[in-house]
Amino acid sequence: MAKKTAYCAMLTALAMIFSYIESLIPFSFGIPGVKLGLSNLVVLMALYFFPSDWVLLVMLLKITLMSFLFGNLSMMIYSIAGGILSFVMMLLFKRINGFSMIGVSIIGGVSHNIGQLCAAVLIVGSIAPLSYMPVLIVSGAITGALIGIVSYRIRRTVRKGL
Amino acid sequence: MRLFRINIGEAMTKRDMILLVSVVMAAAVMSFFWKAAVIDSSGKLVIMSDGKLYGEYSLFENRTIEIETDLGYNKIVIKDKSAYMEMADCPDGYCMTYKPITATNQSIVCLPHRLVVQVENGGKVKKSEPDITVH
Repeated sequence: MAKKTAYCAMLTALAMIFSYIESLIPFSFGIPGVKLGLSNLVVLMALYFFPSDWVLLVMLLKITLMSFLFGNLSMMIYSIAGGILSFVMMLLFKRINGFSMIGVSIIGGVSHNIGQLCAAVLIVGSIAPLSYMPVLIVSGAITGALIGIVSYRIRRTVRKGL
Repeated sequence: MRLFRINIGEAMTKRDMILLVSVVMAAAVMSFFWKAAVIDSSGKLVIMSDGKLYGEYSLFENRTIEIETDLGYNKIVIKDKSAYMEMADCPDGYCMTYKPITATNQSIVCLPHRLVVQVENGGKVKKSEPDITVH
């Protein structure tokens, strides 16, 4: 239990730092929801090194804390919808043979954006946000691939050190 | 291709590639149908009577809306994705002089009857045309 508390706290802190650093980098395409998702790096790495319930805990903690600190309630709802969908999909694809970290990260990025969009549709009560779908899927795939490549590199190094 | 000192060809499995390609293709197919389906069918006309919502009507069905309230009678026509006031028994009749509205947030106002007709999710306003016509 103590080990879980320590690791989860450390990972949550790391995810929050990444999330904060990302907010400092001006990286905007004028479309809401298109972002790098640096903190997914932490979630993805944790998925390969720790039990999945830890990862879910870290992700939910990170979203809640970041929303309370820097965001608002609607940001929290969007993030949780995207976060949970991407977590489930990443876990699923990790279990399926033949996908590397990059593939898992791609599906994570894409499903995160789809989850956010679904939340937006429910909140707005109109299907108009769905017109962003193609853009968000492509951007999710690209950022997911980038995060996946970085994670792959980190994991190779970290594994050597363990 | 080498990035961050790893060989992408080695790092990505065949299934990763298939996933990436199929996701991008799905998005491309979607952008074809989705745009047409979502944007083009969501344009609607919102009618407010005396500050309260009277009704919402799609801009894509040609129809005539007759509004009869205690304040008076108005007849709005939706035709070819635009709407205009055809008839009104208000004393000044300014509302009938508006150009047909079609772009988001364009509106027709009939002050004596406290009637506001506005477009939502319509097209964009063309820069060259004025929003309203004032006589």
